[in-house]
Amino acid sequence: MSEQNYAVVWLMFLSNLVDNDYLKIDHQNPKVFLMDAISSSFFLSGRDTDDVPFLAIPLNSMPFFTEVDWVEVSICRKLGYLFLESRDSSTYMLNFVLGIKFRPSRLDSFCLQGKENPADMRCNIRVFEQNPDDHTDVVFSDQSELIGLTVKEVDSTLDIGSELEQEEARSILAQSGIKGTYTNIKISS
Amino acid sequence: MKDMIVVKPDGTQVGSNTAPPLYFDFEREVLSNPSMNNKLAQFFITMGLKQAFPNKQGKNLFTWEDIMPNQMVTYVSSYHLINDKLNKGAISNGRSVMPILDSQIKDRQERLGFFSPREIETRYFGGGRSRS
Repeated sequence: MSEQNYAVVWLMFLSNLVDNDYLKIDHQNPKVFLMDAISSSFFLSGRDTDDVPFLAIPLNSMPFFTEVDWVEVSICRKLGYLFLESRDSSTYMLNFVLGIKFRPSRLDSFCLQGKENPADMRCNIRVFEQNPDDHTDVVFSDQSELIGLTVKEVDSTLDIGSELEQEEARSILAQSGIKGTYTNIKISS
Repeated sequence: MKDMIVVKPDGTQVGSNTAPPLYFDFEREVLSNPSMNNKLAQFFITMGLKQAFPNKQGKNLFTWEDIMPNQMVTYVSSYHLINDKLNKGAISNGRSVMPILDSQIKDRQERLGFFSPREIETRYFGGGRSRS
């Protein structure tokens, strides 16, 4: 079982992103937290020389970032997101989903559209270290931190988790009393 | 897939580079705004964090039901200080990233106590949120 200190780091990280308008809670499926383009650029994507896709995360987000049970990634080309799914390892119930925004060409790192079958792909998570004084100076770890996350393609956030999980999440959001501006509902005048 | 990052098994990058990532500054991204919105915090806890990090039998650093905002900030601040000591430069020095144990956090908290709201305000408020 994971150490609890990581949980409070996650809580403050997510709250800070929302407070600063860098993350929205998806109103259709509130288990999904959508990072904006700016915050998503903390991450990199690529392939190992044996052609295995990876999501690369900054060393400064370690070890808390990988102490969640990430089990699957979903590619949504329509929305331009990679969804990182945390699930209970025994029940496979969805804990929460972190949506990381990627340009379509970058999503091809995870699965080449029309040429590769997502069911055949596996994704690893690697760590990189960035020089604080020269942000172009990036060094990758020599091994992956997490390996073998399954890959699938989805059309929307409603394709993630069961209908029951989504309904429960919408009910929690409705009762939470949090501001509407924290979600991605478009307010029209 | 032109412009894609390709990394060799030893971690060295081959091929063309892409735009550098945004630098993840832990203090700025996590600790710079510790005025936790209680409703928002409760939402994240209920929505998934409580399931991802359930209370542990007998070995809890805290319980989700009882934790106070100043305790959270103290734990996260301790995490950051211990992490910096253990893992700074880990990749460039070829070291594995070490875990941060609840017992290390607990030990530090027992020696130094929890931050008071005033200490938190002094240490972390207005931590500079510019990403430029």
